[in-house]
Amino acid sequence: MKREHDGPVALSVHEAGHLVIAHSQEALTVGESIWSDQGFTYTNVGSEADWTKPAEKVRSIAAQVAVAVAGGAAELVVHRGVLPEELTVEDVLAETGSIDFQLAQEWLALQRHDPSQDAIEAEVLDVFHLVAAALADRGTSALVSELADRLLARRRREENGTVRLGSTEPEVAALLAGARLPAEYPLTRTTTANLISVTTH
Amino acid sequence: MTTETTEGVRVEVLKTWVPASWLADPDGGGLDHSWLGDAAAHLAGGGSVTFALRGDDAEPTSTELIVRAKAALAAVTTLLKERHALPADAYVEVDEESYGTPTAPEGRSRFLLPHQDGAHSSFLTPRAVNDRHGITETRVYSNTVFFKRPSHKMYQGFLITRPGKFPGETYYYDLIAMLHDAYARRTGHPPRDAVELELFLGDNIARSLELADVHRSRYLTVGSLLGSEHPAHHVLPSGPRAESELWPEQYASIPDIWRQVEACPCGLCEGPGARLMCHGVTATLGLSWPQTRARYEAAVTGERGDLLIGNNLTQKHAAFSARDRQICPVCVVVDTPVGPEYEAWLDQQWTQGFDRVGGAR
Repeated sequence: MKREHDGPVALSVHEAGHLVIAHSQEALTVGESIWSDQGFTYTNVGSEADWTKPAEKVRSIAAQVAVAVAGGAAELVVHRGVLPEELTVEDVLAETGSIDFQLAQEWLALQRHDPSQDAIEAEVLDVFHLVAAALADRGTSALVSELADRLLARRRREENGTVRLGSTEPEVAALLAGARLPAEYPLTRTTTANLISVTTH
Repeated sequence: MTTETTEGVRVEVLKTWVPASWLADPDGGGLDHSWLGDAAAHLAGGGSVTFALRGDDAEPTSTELIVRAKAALAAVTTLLKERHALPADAYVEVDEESYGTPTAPEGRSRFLLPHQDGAHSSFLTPRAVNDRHGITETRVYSNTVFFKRPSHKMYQGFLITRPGKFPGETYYYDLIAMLHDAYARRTGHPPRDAVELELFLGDNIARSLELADVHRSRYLTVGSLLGSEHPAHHVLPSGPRAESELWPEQYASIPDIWRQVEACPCGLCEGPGARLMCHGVTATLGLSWPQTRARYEAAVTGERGDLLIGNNLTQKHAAFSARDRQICPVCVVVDTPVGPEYEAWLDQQWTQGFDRVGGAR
């Protein structure tokens, strides 16, 4: 979801970006993209990860971060056709919007007690670059556009209600099945080996 | 209705300078020291304690300070067990030193809103005998996403290893006093006894659990604990920082939350999180967030080498910190908050907490 979206077309691409990246992440399950009657959008994402197991916890966090930044990356790459090279944190914040950026940040902060904000922002920047590069693939961009068109069409057919685009709808599922995307995006700046142990006595 | 006196509604904070002689040999120093006994009694009585651990050293290393913090908290924990009914299975949990302080994007500081550490499984509950919702069977609010360990943190604290660009402040709030006032405002009369407050709290926790699919929060908020029926007031902002945003699904699924985040009743609060907090306390206490702070808040300025400890269940705590502040979290925890010893300790907390606010005045 992006508060400062540039209109319904950009917002539909933004949300389709979340849906496509969420579907590709092994650590996550994705339900549907929702466009609420109040004009807000989000994509329902879940995880069965066991947070008492460090590796599972890190994988699910990494996947959630990728999904969180995917909306902004899709707007940049698919909607505006820009191929990102050297983005700054300010650039990424402008693309994702503060809501998605802070969602990514919150997931990263759950890895350990208070990583540094510098490390968090660098990690978000790195993951954004990776996700944007993946979305820039011609086939993936076309997929995002196709899903965005479907979501927008539903919005226009029902302007005052809540509309949904479900990942298990047969036509949507068939489109998503053709996607070729990384199944995970590594974190390199905020992880620590010791994720669940503490000293006790 | 809100009581006008502030007597008994603020957490009392004790500062204790730990003697250098004890720091040099904590094992040999034993437990028979007045400063240690006073600190344990103050904590047991509902207060918070700041232990100054710098001793005679000009600049002890962070590693040395963490060793001292462990020793001091272990000693206090032993006294709390021996003299103040802390359950025998309680133990000290020491985390890693932090690398910094997450802020809102590009922020230089953060205001961490009132919360309880590890609050997915650490929050004030009624005594089991006064629980009509089954909350006390596990005392767990959410269990799939949490920071590190699902222990039940009875006392929370942290050692300041690097204050950062400015001295941070930590704030404490007496939750039983806030519950007392919220109850009085809701019913039009003060509670007759602690049991009425426990029933009120239990109803509020149960309501928040019933609304979980709507608000999606993993922690109980001030608004939810004090009885707000609006799902928006059960939403904990990211962080939970005053400056921070809510999650996309919360904006999309909770009617009216957007407007609440845009503007607060007093018009003074800055940041989505602070404005939402302002709505929550206005609905339950009849006070804006700045007024709530003025009535209930006790503030402590932390220096390097200070170990700040407070009750994590009967109090909420908040903090204003620099982005480059570093701390080492330390807590006193149990793995499962059930059984006669835990109930006896909780009974003590409710009884003295109710007495602090003047009982049935």
